[in-house]
Amino acid sequence: MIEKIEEKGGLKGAILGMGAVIATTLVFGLAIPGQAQVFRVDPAPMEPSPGKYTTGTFSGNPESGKGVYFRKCVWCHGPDGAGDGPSAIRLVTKPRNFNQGTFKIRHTASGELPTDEDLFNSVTHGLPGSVMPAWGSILSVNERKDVIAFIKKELVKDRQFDDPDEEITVIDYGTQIPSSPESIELGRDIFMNKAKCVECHGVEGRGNGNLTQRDDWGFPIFPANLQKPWNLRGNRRDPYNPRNIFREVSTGLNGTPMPSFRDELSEEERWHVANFVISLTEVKRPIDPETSRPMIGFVIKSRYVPDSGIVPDTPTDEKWLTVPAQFVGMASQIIQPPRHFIRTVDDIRIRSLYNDTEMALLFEWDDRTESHLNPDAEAKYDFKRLSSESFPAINTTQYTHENDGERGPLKDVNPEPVGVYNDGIAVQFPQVWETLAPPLKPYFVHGDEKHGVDIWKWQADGTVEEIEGHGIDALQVREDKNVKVTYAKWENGRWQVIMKRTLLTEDKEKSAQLVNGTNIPMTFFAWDGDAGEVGGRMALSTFYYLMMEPPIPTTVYIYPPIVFFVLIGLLSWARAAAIQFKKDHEGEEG
Amino acid sequence: MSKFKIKAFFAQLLALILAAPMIAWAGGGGGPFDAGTFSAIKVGLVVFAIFSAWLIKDKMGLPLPKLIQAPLLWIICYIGFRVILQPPIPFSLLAMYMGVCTVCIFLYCSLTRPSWEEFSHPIAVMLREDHATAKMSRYATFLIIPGLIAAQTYNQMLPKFGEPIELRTVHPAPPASINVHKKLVTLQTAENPFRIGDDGNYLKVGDEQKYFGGNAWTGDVPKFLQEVQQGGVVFFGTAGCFFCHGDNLDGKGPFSFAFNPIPANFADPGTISQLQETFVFWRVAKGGPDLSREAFPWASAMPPWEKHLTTNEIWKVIIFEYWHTGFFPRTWG
Repeated sequence: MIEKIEEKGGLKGAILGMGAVIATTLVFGLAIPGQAQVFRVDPAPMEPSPGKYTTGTFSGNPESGKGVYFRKCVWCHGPDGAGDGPSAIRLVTKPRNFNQGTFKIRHTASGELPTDEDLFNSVTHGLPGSVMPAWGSILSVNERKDVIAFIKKELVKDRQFDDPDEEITVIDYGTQIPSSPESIELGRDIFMNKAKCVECHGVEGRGNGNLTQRDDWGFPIFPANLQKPWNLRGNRRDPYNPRNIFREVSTGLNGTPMPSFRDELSEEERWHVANFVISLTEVKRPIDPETSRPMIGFVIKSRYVPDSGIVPDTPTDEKWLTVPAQFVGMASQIIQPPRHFIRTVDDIRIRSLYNDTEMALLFEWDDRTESHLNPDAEAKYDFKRLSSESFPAINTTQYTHENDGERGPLKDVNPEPVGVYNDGIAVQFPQVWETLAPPLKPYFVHGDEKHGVDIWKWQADGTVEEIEGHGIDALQVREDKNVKVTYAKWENGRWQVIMKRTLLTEDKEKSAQLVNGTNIPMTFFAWDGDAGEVGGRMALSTFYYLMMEPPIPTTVYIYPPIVFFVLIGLLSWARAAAIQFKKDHEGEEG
Repeated sequence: MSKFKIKAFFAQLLALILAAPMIAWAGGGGGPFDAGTFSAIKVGLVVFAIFSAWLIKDKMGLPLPKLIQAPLLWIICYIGFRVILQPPIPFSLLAMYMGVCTVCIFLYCSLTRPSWEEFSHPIAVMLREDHATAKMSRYATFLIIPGLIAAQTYNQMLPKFGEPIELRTVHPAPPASINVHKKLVTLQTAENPFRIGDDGNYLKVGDEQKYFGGNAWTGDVPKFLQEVQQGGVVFFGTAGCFFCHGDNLDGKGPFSFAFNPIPANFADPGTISQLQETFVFWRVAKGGPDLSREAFPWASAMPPWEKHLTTNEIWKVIIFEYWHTGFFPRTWG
């Protein structure tokens, strides 16, 4: 009886203990994120899916929408909604000029005004691939509705949403045809022959077709790269969903050369095209919800080719398939003069292999143009902007830089189409990285005075250079010829380049030594010669790490079985002891 | 085992099974709720689930067998420390806490003789008896336990190639003074020259609140908002800060995905609202290269803006950042 009570006491103690654990959890759980709760206006983002579409219109309050507009939108879209805010001058996809009532992403027939829900979704999910962010996680539902009401009432000037002549026809998704090899094949035929999508979007859909087109406002516009659906404006943050493609093929993009195919193609045909377009992205990389782009891992794994195998010279070799292509995000070099705002290479895919003597990198990146140095040729990308006078909202002349006068007022900073430069790719390692105590590294843009970098650079004219870098304006080509490029080919809007180097070199001070089993810091750079990219005008990445995976030691296969059998032995011994114990007790009792 | 006992057993099991996904969900921070924002609700739900399990136990008056209770308690403790407790605690601390938990649970099981017997009896039966049930459980135990440990050994021994863990100081100590455009700026005493109220006098920190949410573009724009507007033009035009720091100043600009560390999120209460205006001035003027070693100057894509902007432009962009996010700079007064 007494023991029973004691046991209850033990139970209560345990409950109290648990209570204490939970209370602690509660205190910590509330206290730490608590700070963030106070200020955050963070309505849950909408489901990232086009989902069910209703044509419902809704009302918002234009007066309060005006407040939202002048806090959040005016900086790009301008005080008059003419798409001429302070940022507009440096953007390639220009902010929408609302005045004409021309909107790209709609459910309505070509040339028609959008529905309220179309506008709401564009604000909520943003327009990926442009700088328009997803406001759904920033503005509340009512704020979004209000700002749309304001835009419709005040900023769309040439047309009226309540004009009885402005009838809209909302497109019908019909019956979605699920993707299948047959459907994709039918879609391919339409893409290539019937609808001639290929003329602009290219044979493999990388948007490397007609590059000389202009939109309704006179700005240059380039066909979409369909292999990067995360960059499609109308993807509603659900890039691998064929409904988006079906919609855009059906409605066209108002104001752009992308026509509506609603009359040319039947509903089934449009579904086949949509399935084909989605099938173009072979590897459906998982999308990072924070960036709405493929997830990035910062360790570039290089796989060992065993048995004194050869590292392949061409990308078709099956050995490359033993490593997944890894995704490297690229930004423009906007840090140091010459600041560059429009890089065309926004990602690189990397594979790497190594053997006992050399390491190889297979670079793959999309580039609409194959560019070789030619000062007399006309660049295919026409980035020439309308001059700053076209952007009255930003009176750039008042921003004279009194402290570094030579750079003068903010000008049209986009490159004029003067000549064609080389396409190029480069990878950079710290010199003598072994002696830098982690995390110390040289400055990521070509190193700094104290810590140099070893840059391996390939250019489309075939030059391969090993460059010592101590800063963007302190580069020196070295004599060494350790780096080889065994393959470089541009095809259908994509470069494939294989770069190789011996693991070790003679000059251990100037060139990076490659050792397996450690993280070696590396940075990537890319140039698009038809977009005026040369020297410091380039795309760059942040620090990644090259990890040459060491071969798996044989002990890995030896110890676990040993552990297994030793444990069985121990358990058997415990069984023997238990039986003996019982016997002894029986003896005692007997 | 009576029917009642079996019922109670299953009721408890059910409650715990229900609790598990909730715990996972709460810890994962996924789902429709943003991590952190709704953590109170999440923790509340988990607490509710665990307590309902205990409530059922109490109401039924019949506890689970000790042999099941002990590992369950252990797992709940582990989940509590590992998943629910935020921010995550280091492994050494976790090991210490779990060590204490293990001792406590062992004590709880072995404190009295009947309790110990209840706990150890099934183990003894499994080890020595020769009837069918004991045999089956013995074979299972003898295979599963060594198998799991061997698998764990294999996993541990396989070489792992993760990103190196590098701890960066986000807001390192600023210098006492800096030299910008040949003028010495003492960070302790410098003031933003554009904090000017309607009366032309210096606007004390906090007093600018009346301009928050105001329209800096149309109508009769007060002096302070004119400066804010010009700061915005620097942010979006002259300097192009938004390429990294984002249209909403939330660090999610179009280039942010390519950088690591990601650009500062001014909309987060942990950044500019925790800093003095002069600290922000130092960061903007000198950029990444002037950071001290523990803040990783080599990886920062922040340009030294003194090379591109005037001193006035820098002060203006700072008032714009505070105005846009609705925060006040930190003051010592």
